Amino acid sequence: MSNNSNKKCCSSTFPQFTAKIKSVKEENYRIKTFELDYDLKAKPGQYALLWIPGVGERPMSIGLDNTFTVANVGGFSEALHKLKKGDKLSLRGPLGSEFELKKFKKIILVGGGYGVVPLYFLAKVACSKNISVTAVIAARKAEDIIFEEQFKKLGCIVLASTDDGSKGFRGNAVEAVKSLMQKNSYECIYTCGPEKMMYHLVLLAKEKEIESQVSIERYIKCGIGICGSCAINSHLVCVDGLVYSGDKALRFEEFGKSTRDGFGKKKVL
Amino acid sequence: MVKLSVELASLKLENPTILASGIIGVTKGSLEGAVQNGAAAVTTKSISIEPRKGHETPIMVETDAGFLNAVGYTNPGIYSAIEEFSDWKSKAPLILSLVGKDETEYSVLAEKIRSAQKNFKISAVELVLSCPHTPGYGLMAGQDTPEQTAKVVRAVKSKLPVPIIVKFSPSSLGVGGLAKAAEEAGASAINMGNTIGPGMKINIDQKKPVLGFKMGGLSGPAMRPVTVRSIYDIYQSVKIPIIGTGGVSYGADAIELMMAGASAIGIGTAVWYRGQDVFRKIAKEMEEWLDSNGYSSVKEIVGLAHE
Repeated sequence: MSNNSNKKCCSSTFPQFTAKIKSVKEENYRIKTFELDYDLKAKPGQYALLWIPGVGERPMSIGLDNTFTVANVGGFSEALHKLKKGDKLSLRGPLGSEFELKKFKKIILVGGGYGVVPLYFLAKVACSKNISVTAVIAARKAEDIIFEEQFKKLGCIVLASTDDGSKGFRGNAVEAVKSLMQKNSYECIYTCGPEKMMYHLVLLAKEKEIESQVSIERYIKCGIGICGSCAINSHLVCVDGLVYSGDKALRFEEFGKSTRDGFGKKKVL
Repeated sequence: MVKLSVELASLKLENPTILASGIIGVTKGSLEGAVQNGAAAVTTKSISIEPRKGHETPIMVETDAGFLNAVGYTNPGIYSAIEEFSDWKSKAPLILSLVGKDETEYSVLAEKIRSAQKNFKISAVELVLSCPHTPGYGLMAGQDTPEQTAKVVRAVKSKLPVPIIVKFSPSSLGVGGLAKAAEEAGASAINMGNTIGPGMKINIDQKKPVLGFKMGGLSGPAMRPVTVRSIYDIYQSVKIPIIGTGGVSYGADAIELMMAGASAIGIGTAVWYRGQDVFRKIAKEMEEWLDSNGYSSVKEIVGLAHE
């Protein structure tokens, strides 16, 4: 009767754990990649809540090999950018749904800005399954294009696209995809980036009668479907997103139209 | 066939489960989602006069058999809320949760609701006098006295012709007396209740409290015994019905709160433990228990533990 000493009275359902930063890499003038010494066992499309004590907790897309690639846009991201190799980083996750490769043989990934992060993770998995991957990396200008070489190294066909034409295709991502589709066909469009861009890509997929999957961004706070701040119509993105099929996303009236601010007030996109 | 329907003041509920305030209810769409998942009534997030950003994240952290939360009344303010929750078409009653610093603020909120357009239809208001972790409100502002309770209830009652539910926390002392004060001032129901505490969780790797506000209210299974005792006390003090909220994850938990004296059950944290359709699951489990124990209506078990 003495073996009770190691019994845990209740198991954790949403643990927070602390990892160490294994490396920090500068991707461009404002984006850094932080690699952790901890195996998150994440799937492409999932996210984690990163916590910096005294600053706050924010949802971040999980990149390939336990990484987070984050732009310094002030606030939390500025504090994150100050972290160095060997520093602690606490997190909860992985959370949320994942991109699904199904039985596709030829796919196209379209990332806007740092929306390429989960798509690069997805590209790695797809390439290991011998799926033909085309990646459109879209940004405002040349210096905002990231991961171009990494995608090429995986064996992807890569098209950079910039609004001002400073690199690659001149125009928006949707136009870039349309230009590729003149000579190529794909079974699925995977996209992560500005919602208007994703909305038009879903419509394009529908028009071409192919599938699409999108990663929807909302104001995530609790991460477990309780606080309600991430609502899109009757759904909570933090638990049944971020990734949705394009068909499902189109059933949300708010998709591509409106989002919510930190107060829960509706904002037109 | 076991009847699960209950009445709560003038509210008719198809089953005893109610979506508790602060859970999911930021938008009309998400409240509709809770109804689709079986909630017989839904409560909005608490609304203040002005918009509130709330506390810094993390706003929730798990502890043994429960969560601590410190949301801090994030809400878009009463004007946006009236716009958001207008045109409520579901058959499930909509309960608007209100939070104010004193009777004057509650009076302003009631006035805004009364003067809102006709399409803003609510079945009841819930007055929160019990948040354990927001400066200026609830327990941190001493709102949990019989005198303050009576003042706030009277202020709202004089402006609004809808049933008033008053929400207390088991952390308040003398909950029976508080409930009595609410009843005498004209409240139609008591919600017992809010989270308890506040408590704190420290991450030992970072050597810092996890919650952005450092402290937060405890919810989940860990608090249920305290909820049950508080309902038991209130049932002996008042005649008006009680909504039991706190630590219910399964049908058996709900039965326990009803035996203590609750007529309906608020569900919150269990949305995480059992999924967004927790309302339907709990109602079904209650039905099965009642059936196998020979009851024909859930109303028969209310207050049974007092007999």
